[in-house]
Amino acid sequence: MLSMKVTPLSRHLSRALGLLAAGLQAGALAQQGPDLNALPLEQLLNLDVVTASKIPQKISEAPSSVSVITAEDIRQRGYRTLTDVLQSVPGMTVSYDRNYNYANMRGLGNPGDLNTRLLILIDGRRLNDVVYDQGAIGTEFPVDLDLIERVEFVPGPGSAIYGSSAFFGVVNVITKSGAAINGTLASAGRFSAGGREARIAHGGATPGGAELLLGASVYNSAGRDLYFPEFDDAASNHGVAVGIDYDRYHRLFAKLAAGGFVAEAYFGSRTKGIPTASYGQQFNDPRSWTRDEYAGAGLSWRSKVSESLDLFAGVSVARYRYTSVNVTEAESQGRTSNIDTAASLSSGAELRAISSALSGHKLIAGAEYVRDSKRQMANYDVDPYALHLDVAHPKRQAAVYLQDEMRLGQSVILNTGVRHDVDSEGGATTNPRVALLYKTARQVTLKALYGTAYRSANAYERYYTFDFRANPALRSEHIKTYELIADYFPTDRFRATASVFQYRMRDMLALTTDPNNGFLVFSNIDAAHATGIELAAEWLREDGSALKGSANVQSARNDANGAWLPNSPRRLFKLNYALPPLGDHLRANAEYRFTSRRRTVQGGEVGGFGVVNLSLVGTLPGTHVELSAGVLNAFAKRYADSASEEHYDNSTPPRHLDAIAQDGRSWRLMATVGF
Amino acid sequence: MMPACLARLRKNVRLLPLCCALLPPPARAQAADEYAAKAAFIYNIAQFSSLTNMNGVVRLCVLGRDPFGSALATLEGKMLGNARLTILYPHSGPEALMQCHILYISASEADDMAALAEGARAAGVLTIADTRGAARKGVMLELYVDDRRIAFEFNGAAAHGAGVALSSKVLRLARAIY
Repeated sequence: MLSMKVTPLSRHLSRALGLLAAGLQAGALAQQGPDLNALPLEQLLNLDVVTASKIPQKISEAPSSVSVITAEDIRQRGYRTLTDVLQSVPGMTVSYDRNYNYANMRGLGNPGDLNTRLLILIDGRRLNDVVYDQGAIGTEFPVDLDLIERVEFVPGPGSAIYGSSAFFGVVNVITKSGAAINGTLASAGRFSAGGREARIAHGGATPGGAELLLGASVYNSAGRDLYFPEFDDAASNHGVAVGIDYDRYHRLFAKLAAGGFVAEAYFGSRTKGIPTASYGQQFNDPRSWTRDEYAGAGLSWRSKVSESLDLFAGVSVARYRYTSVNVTEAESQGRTSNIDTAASLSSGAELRAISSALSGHKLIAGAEYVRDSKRQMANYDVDPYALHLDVAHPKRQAAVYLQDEMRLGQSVILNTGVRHDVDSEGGATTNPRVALLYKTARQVTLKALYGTAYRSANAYERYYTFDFRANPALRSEHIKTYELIADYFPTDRFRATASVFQYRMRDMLALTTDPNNGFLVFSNIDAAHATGIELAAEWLREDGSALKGSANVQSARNDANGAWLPNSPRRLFKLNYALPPLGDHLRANAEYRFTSRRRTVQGGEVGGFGVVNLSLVGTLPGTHVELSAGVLNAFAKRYADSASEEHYDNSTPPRHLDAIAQDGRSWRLMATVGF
Repeated sequence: MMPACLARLRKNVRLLPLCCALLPPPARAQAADEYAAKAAFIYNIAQFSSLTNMNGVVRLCVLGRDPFGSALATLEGKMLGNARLTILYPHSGPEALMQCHILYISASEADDMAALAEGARAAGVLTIADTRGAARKGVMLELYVDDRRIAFEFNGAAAHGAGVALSSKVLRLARAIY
């Protein structure tokens, strides 16, 4: 029976491999062209030219060390989540607790903090909700990666432009235009651990310049059975959670652009099984899950009023809904489950003007108003019904900001910015930013950066009173950063940067366990700092191959006791190699990522690890079919991420998880048909 | 190979894509690298222009970040009439205007484009750039790629001011003349 099932698959595989080999053969036939210098001008102007990829010109003039991941990078490397994208960014590591992904930037970022200090933008609009400030970077992120034109990551504080949450960095996801898809793409994918995906995207442009993009996708992964040594006893199925690492989502996206106007809407709903018994639940109980639902819409207008003045205006609305089902008793002891919900709704308007009317200056001035009309949390037992929490704390925020890029002669640029925010709950705050850039004659740019950022305590930290003590008097947390960068960018195809940074934080909000009653509580306890060096280089070679690498040496410590911060690796190393095109139709990519050992929240340690990912993408010659395949963690390296405070079960005393094992070798296969 | 394939086709039409894939790809025009083509264009222009003060050497300069890769090296030492072409990489605008006969202004210098064009006009240097809008800012030749073809615009006023004359053979191929 089994062999009957396997045979057709292996036949498909061998057929696919045969076709890929044919692509290789076709590529080998390509030859060097004629001597172009000998061609007459008319023939030269009739020649079909191909434009090689280049590193964006202005990147070295940015007042930080920006990373850009393009649609082509995403395609060649087979990235499926923002986590995949961010893990390729210098200085970034992402941990996973089988529910959410947690970013750590340059050694800073607690496991379990829901990325509240990372601002996620979709086409410039805030995705972080107003209850948890959660930055969605896993499967709960609501936009398919194949609809993304590029992801820009700006490390360091961005509050001088974006306000709250732009603490460790800003991730701006820029979606494709309708013309970029130009047709209909239908995809089907299979993944290890029983994952399947179906996706459709349609895009097009009219001769009048109107562009439409539509996308939809469904994903369902059954997940593997997972073993947790901390829960290993006979009463807990020997520490094995069976069939509850499932992950399902569906997503919708629409964008219409015409005459300076862009209307855009997204929706994503993700349901995740909870195998870790977090927040004192019954281990290995299939009834517990969480759902994250994002929906947003925006309308913007952009106009070039004159050669020196650009105007931008926009309105937007964003909704986030969270539901989790918690099971704290075994099914034999009671049938009740506990429901935890949150609802966040904000609507806002913004206005921005960019002027280069003043010679030597580029000025950006803007204003923003946001009304968080729904900021609600509830918690109740189902049967018998008991309400434990029902709070709503709507608020308003307003901000004005001004930035100036001033050219002082041929080689010096002074980039300054300041933003003033008023929050009806957290009060007023002003955040400046200064960057001094010096361009030397030998294509080296030296930069000195200073900036501050803040994050106001969110509704969850202030008002969640079921298991936690309410603390409405929490202050905003603050960060100051200093960075020196040398950027060497001699050709369009090579760039290397070296950076020395120090981040200083105070009034950090952290979840700790109250020793008196065992409850989890948020308070402004921590001051911490991180210091380090980051080296990065990229080289786009003439044969079409590309090599990118980065290395970090860093140290992040708590100021009070000098302790090494949990989840903070001291060394990182990343390497990505895109092989030269294998013929016209096939691209291969190899990626290596090393993270050194880290302290866990419980005081233990997880070991350092290196992971290799391989991917292959090719078009079947003569067809509109693209096949993409990948092996993740190809050498099946065993590694784990730190668990956090909330990873304990319902035993007395609670059993805390120290580390959460990560996936071994896994694979993916995706086929896309264009028509 | 063909007859065997065709025989199988009768049995199983679904194998058609595989069959096609195994055939050699259809012959098509060889595509050239954009900057190899642009380097060849600059060489062509140099042959059809009247440059002043050459003294046996024509100095072609790249100011700013070099996008040509290895393409420009193929021009080093080539003869233009009695003069030998040589490639230089000046470190600043003033240095370039003193040394060069032909100046390619890289996109990295886009912010200083108008000032460089003005200086080049006074210094009698032929200017070339491939930043959009360069010809309107006073650069003599602006290269761009349109529908996978190299195209160019010409600023006649700037060339005239610098005393640089281009052959009418070149000018009639320009997409726009200012």
